[in-house]
Amino acid sequence: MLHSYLKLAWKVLLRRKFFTFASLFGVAFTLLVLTVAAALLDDVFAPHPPETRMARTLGLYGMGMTGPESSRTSFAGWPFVKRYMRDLPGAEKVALLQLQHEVDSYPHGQKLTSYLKRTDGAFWQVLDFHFLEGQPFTEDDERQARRVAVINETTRSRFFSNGHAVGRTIEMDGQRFRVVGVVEDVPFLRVVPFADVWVPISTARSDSYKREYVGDFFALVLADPARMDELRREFAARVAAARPPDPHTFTRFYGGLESLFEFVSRLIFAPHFEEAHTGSLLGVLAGLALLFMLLPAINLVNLNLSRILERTGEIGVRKAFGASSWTLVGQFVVESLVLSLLGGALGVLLSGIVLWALNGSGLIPYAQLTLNPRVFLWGLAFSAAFGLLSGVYPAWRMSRLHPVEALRGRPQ
Amino acid sequence: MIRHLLKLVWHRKRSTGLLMLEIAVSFLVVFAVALFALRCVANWRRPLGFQWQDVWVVNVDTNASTDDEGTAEDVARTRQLLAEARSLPPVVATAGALIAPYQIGGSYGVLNYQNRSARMSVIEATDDFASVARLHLVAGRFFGRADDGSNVPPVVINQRLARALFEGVDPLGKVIGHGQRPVRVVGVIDEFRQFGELLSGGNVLFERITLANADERPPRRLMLRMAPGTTAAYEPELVRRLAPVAPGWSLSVQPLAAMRHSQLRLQMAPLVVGGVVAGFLLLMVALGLLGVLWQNVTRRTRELGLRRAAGASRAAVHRQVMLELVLVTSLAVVPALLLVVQLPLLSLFEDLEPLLVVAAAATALVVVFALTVSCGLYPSRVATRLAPADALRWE
Amino acid sequence: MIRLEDVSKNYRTDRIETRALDGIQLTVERGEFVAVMGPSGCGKTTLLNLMGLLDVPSAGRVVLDGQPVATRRDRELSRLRNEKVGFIFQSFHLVPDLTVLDNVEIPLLYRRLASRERRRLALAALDRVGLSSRVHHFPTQLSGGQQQRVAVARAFVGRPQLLLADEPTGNLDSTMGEEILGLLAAANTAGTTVVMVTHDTRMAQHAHRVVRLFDGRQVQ
Repeated sequence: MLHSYLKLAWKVLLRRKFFTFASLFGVAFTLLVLTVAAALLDDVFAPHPPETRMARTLGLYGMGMTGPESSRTSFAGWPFVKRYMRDLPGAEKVALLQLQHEVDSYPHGQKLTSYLKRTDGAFWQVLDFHFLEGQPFTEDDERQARRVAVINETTRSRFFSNGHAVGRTIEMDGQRFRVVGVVEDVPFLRVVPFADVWVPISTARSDSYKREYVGDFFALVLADPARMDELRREFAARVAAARPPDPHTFTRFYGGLESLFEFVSRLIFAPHFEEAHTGSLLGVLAGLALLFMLLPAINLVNLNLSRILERTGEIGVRKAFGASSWTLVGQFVVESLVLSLLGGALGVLLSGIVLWALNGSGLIPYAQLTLNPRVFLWGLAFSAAFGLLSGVYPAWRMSRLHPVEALRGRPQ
Repeated sequence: MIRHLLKLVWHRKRSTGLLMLEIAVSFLVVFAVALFALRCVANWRRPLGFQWQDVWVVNVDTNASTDDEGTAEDVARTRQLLAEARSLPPVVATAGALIAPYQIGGSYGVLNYQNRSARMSVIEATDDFASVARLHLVAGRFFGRADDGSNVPPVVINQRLARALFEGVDPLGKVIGHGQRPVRVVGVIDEFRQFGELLSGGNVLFERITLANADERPPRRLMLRMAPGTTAAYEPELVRRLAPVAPGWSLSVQPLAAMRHSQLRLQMAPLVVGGVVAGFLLLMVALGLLGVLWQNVTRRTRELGLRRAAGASRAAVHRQVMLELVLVTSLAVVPALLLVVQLPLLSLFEDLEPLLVVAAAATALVVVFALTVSCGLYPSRVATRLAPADALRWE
Repeated sequence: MIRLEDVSKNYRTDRIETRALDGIQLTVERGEFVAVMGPSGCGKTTLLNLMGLLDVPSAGRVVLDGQPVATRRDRELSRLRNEKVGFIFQSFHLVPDLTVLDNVEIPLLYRRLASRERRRLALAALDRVGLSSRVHHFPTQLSGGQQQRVAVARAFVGRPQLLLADEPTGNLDSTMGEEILGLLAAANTAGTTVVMVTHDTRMAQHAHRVVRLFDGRQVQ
């Protein structure tokens, strides 16, 4: 039965070229937008290198201090991490990294702006960078404040037009660093690892960071997946028990270990640490997608309704020759599904082109937006849902047609 | 005729209902994009309040973790940096500020005068800021040396803030409460929209940095007005000359024009993306309407034939079909219009001018009517082209 | 083959109730060829619709093949129509989006048949009406007579015991009409019961028996 439905759907779609084109256009365009959005989200949140161990990684992405009169929300401070994140249960490594900032260099008398990020040795073990040459700097380099740097591929080609960079020096922000490794470019949207140049924290010009309990650091914890909850609880207990150094202004700390997704949803819905709101971000994303799909869905329902009502005569004939209402609902839903899946395939294809163009345009530095299987499956799910959504109502309307009325060509 | 058509539409309410919903939602989409775009255009045409051309910004990073506390040494160094920059031939004028235009961030405060109060953005700047940014004074003067002896700190406000706080009273010389301490208004400038041409801007207050006290926050941005025609090639030279004055500090140079360019691009992005998406949505709706109307009209060929047989001319039938379409569109748009009119009343968005809402609604009306009418033209022609006899025979 | 026992049919539109058929008693024996005649609006088509189970009577009952049709369930009625009845309409009612062959296959679609078998049966039916050369044409590419021959093939293809024809020659010229009627007569000779609505006395002459309706009542 399904086979003949499919064949029939194909024939009808070929004959009704205008309706087919209008429907395909709508579905393809809708899917294009949704797929591009999904690819962007995927680029931010899904585990791609160097963040391959995302499921095992928690972060201290923000914290603050509060007192009777004032509070200060910012990021983690160096001494706080050193003091309270030691020997956490289930933690294998703790890495520290500073927020990247822009620095200028003038290698050939011409200005180059790069993103510089200061990190420690553990950073390279928690994250999974792919080295094109050389290797990362070590914990010892960090301890000894050696002027060494890891740079990305683009920086290598911008500074050293010919070939290798390891062993050569690079000047950044008035400091000279010896390049020890070159890694592949990291997309701009990967907030945690992204930078052009990574250097040891201890090479900072001033060591005032060593005194700030609330500063501008992220801390990453690579943990035993089985002991995540224990780890979070223990850290929360330590934060609750910790006392800020100046007890007159600030009486306690706040902040906790979170996943990247939890961090972003908190940033949007609870910037002052009210509570983690993972559900709301998903809800808002789903809501936005639905809002966007509203118009295309109504449009497709209208088109499908017309496509089906135009064929009242056919419905009458089929009913006369023994098709039951449910058989006809099946036939028309399959027709709508075929249309949606075709449109979906077209949309995914187009979004591939758009993503490729986006990657090439440099609008998002080092973007590596791809149609990976996950995004593709989302697109498929979207189009199937779309087909059902827009096909069921018209099919139901049609199935209620009385055969005698339908044969007279007078739909209700 | 209209009543007759209204009856027709009412009897077909089930099939026209969805069509009307589609038209109403399309109206809302066009309205939203039009409102956004018109707001940008309106903002663009208003005075900016400063000149960004030939101004370079030197970002100063002292590499201390907090910017809140300065030392006497920091203040002295900043003064030396400004003096060094001023001595370079391509530099025409220099000033210091805590934040430059086109930069995200800034600080905010509340001003009180009698029983009124207003929120505004606070820009701390040195005396020369007015000449570097070429501000337009409309009353009084910018702060300067003349204020050195005064024990009430001088401030300069923009006209918008003056209106909000004084409403008709001359603000010059008035002492007003700013947080815990009083300040005196010495001048009024026409406007200063620090986030650029596309945003509407708000109340602005300039506070004086004297570069004499250790307890004031030293400026983090040096603003340099360059001789016209200075090229980017001079940037490394500038850094090379300034760096020795402040060892241990990080300096970076950016022309204000470049900052403006990237800020505008950032602010335009949602409009461009929204516009492109809305454009495609409309194209999709147009195709959909064409299909639906076509089918509607063919299905009614017999009815139309009947009207022709009853003596209606081809043009009359065509007119009737179009009138019906206009009627359906109007019925669909009315609730959407009522919804949209609530916007200025809701005060959900601040400074949403009613005129803009009206203009955006008018744009949306024109677009939606043009859309439906142009989608109806062809199907209606096809239906009325049939001879009455053929139309009646049609099944 | 089919018996209508005291069947009435009312239609309601808004507040007005119209009686289309009133107390019809009619038995059609297996293998009969019955013509139903009467002026326009006398309820001929309603009668045919009731016999074809396209509609259910307001009162009375329909007995098909010895079994009273008690159900009003769509699925049951559809199954009975599919197995026992074939229809031919005045305006052919071919599906314009489908080829001749696909149109003829429609009744077979709702039986569990392999597509190869469907195709074989449809081709055989088209061969019987002499249209094997046009199987891949679309209905609009055929003349009226050819279209009605396709409709006849479609009515035959499921080997129904009862063939219902509603003014099958109404839209055709007399030569074409004779041709179609020949096909119906041939089917009847082969054992199919035929009920045909017509207002053309010449066509009715082919029937074994003529039933006349007037204002929803049987007058003869």
